Amino acid sequence: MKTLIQRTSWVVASILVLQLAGCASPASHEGMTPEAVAVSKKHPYSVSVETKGGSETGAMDSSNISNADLKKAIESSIVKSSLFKNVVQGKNGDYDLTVSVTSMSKPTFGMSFTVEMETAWSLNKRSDSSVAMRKVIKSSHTATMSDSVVGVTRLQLAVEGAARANIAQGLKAISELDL
Amino acid sequence: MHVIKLEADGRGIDGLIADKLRTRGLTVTTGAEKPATVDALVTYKDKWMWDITMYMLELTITIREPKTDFPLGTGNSFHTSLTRKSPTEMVDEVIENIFKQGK
Repeated sequence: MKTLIQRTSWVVASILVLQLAGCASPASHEGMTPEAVAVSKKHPYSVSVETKGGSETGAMDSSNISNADLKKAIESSIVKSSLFKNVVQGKNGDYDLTVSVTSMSKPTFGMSFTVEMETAWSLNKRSDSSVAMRKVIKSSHTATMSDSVVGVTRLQLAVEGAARANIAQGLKAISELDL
Repeated sequence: MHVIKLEADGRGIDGLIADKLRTRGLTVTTGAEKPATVDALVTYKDKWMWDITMYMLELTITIREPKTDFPLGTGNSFHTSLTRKSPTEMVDEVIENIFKQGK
């Protein structure tokens, strides 16, 4: 009887582990936030951030970037780097930063997962609607078996890494502007 | 408009995109090189999978400003094997979605 219960427990536990391992998680805003962004200049203005082109991660989907998480990651990075005086919500900033995910190439299978990402960064001055920056930012990141042996986690790490690199490049480009 | 043909594209997806855009009254050329004078560039990425036969899993089309490559509009279509569509249908779906966004 005890053996039967033990066996049943093992089967249930194995199914749970397989299910957890098989479900994709969305890229987290913490994972997409760069550790440090090298900014050459800090701007004494406020900025509002808008993100587009992201998508939610469905149950049968692979890891995606949601607009909300990308926005949080960009805002956290701006605050951490002090690139702008402050980040405001809505359309109340001196500048409006819009970041659109235009493409993200994800592998379907493999040992090393390389994700390539392209975003369009647009920074506009609110007072006169002038364009301060329009730039295409391309980034990629490879996650290997040493990062995670679980495929869905490895892909999530690759997506987050590509987003991290993208945000770092975008903010660096803004820091080089004379606003 | 000019559709930039991908080097690896042996299926003529650039031609399908150009044909679809022409149905909207646009003058469209295709080729691997970027022409000097054009109003907009069109780039695309197609992903194919095998399930009994090859099928197009995903197609992303982006319309760009020629000088800076800045995206002016982008659309994506993703269909797994069960809901697979022909490349022509995928192109139709993506182009229609891009122009719907612009309205």
